[in-house]
Amino acid sequence: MLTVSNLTKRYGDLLAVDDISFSAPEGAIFGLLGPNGAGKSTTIGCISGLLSAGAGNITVADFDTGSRPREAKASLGVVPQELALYEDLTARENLMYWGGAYGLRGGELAARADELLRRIGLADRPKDQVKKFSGGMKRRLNFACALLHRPKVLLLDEPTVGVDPQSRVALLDLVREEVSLGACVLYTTHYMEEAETVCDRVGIIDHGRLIAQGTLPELRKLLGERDLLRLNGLFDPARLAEGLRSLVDVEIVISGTEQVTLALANASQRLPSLFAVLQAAGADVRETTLTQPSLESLFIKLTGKALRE
Amino acid sequence: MSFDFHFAWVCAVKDLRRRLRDPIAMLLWIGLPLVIAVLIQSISGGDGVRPRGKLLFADLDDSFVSRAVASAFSQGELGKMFDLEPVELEAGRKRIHDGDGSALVVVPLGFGEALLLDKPTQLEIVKNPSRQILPRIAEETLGLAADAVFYAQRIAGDRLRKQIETIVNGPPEGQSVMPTAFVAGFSIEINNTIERLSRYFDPLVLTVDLEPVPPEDDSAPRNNFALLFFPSMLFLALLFMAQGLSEDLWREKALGTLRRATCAPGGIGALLLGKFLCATILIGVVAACGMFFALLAFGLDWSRAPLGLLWITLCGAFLFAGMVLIQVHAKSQRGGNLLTNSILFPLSMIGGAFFPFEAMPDWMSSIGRLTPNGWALEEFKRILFGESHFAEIASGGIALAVLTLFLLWWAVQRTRSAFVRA
Repeated sequence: MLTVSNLTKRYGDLLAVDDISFSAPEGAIFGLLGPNGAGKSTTIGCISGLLSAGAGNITVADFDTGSRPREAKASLGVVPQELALYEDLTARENLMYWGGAYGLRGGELAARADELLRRIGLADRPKDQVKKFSGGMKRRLNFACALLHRPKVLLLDEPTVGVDPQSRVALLDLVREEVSLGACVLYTTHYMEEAETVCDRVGIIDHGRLIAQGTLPELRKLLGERDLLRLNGLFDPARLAEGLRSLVDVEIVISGTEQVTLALANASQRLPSLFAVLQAAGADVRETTLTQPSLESLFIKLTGKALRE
Repeated sequence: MSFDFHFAWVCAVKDLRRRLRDPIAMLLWIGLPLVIAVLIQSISGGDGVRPRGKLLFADLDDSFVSRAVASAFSQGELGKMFDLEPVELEAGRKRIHDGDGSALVVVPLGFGEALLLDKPTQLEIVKNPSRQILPRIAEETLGLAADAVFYAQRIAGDRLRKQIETIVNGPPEGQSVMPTAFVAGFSIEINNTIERLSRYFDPLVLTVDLEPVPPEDDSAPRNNFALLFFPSMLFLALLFMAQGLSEDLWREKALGTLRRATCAPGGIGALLLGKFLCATILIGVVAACGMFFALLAFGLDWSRAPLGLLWITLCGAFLFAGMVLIQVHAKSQRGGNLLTNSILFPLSMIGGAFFPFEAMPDWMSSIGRLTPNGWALEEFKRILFGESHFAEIASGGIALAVLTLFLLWWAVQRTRSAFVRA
């Protein structure tokens, strides 16, 4: 349904997206996970036609975005990261406008607008101007504006940023509803938990490169089911590396004088032996954080840094 | 460039809705020119800005009658409007051709004699085609003068005319001067005639009514002022509207709706076309209201309304497309406003929108008429005063429409390639 092949995008000397490829089938959610500035929004921009792809191919519902842009755009529903609504129009007028932008008209458009107003819980306020709505209501309306024409591919660019927990649940329910109706969703986020909860497949992007992709079990395998142990304090990296050689299957992910991150299986059971080695290496440990295998630990393993750094 | 006309129309309807929910902005665009006009009127002493022009006068007759014609333009109200400048005929024609002066009045050789003998003769007036009001006043004045002469001749009577004819033919054969009895009789006749006419012409001056309205209508002076200012005010409103409406692109950008519309199949082309349609409709409505008011207030010919409306709407659409093009080349909204204002105000000042050309010095009005809005304003006045018809403005109108579409196309390209992504 959505295929991105060898996509590259440059802004002058900056390589924003570096030869990335992925695909998402019908009825699936593909999560693009990465920190701010990793290249997620640029990728979405190239797919949606907002930006021109420097190199590579993108097909949306079998339409190449380069040679058949109009058909490709007609198959896309885009939910931008920031709100994109007319505050001086009513909720229904906004829906009618964005539906008209995708060629809907007349009774079909009116019926679809009313249906979506019900689904997003604004059926009782169709004639209220958007400026009178709460942030959560605006977010839901912003989402609904992309659904009017029943798109085959939905692009959701960090749709839950700045959304209260209740609205977030409502939005994620809407995403799942669309998927159950056969839509393919590309979902960008920097919330690990959200990606783990919502997505069927996840691609991890950093510095414009797709460094890993697969289903959640496939990605966990990359981590080797190992926990991450983050230690804060004072360390001598050379003595620590020498001491840890005596322990089996302990990998140093990050090594610094004030922070060390280790990857090891069954970390909680191996803490006594580990601390004995640390003490022998002259380390002064002040804080310990143990993380179970997750996308976050995978991200740290792959990039050497935390997602929110 | 292909347009999704359905999306364009949807955009236009959306923008019209948004505009109707912001009536203050609309009122400001229309009200500001009115305020400016009233302020200028107040500053100039409550009498409005009086049109002043140069009237070239080629007197080939050089008789006391032709000098009387010249004096008609240099006294009273007309004297405040015209600077009368005697010229040679050819020099005068060349100057009018070059746009220097409001009109050239030519008094032909033998004009005075023909007038006295009640023989056919005519005065020639060559009007500057780029001016409207002052040449019309000069033309009306000559028409009134001709009427006055006709009635004076009727009053003078046949006897006096025969005596004048005798004088013109010269003394009887064999005599070098007119007989004493004839001179005495002629003097008595002149004296009696003057005594009879003095009831009507004391002092003997030619007065000119500027407006053909009944004396009891005390609104005539205001009408004059308003008629002079009406086209300028309408163009000023157009400029304000074009600038204000073009700013909406920045609002769309800030709202995120511009980027979102780019992702729709119709895209930016349809969005800008929709904005253009909305602006054209609003400008058309304002122009229609203005025209309706002008036709009612000034008693202008209603048959001029459709062409005038078409022209002013086309001009407004052109101005809007130009303003949009400037906005999408700016780096920020502030920059866009600065750029459009730096073009709007000088163009308004010199292009006849703040002050009518008739109230400007000649050198300034000559430059002003070369500006795009100055040219368009003059064409509008010609339509309004019935001096230009559809066939005459068709070429200019087509050129303006083509240029407008080109500006719009350019703005779409710029918006797509840079503005929306910046």
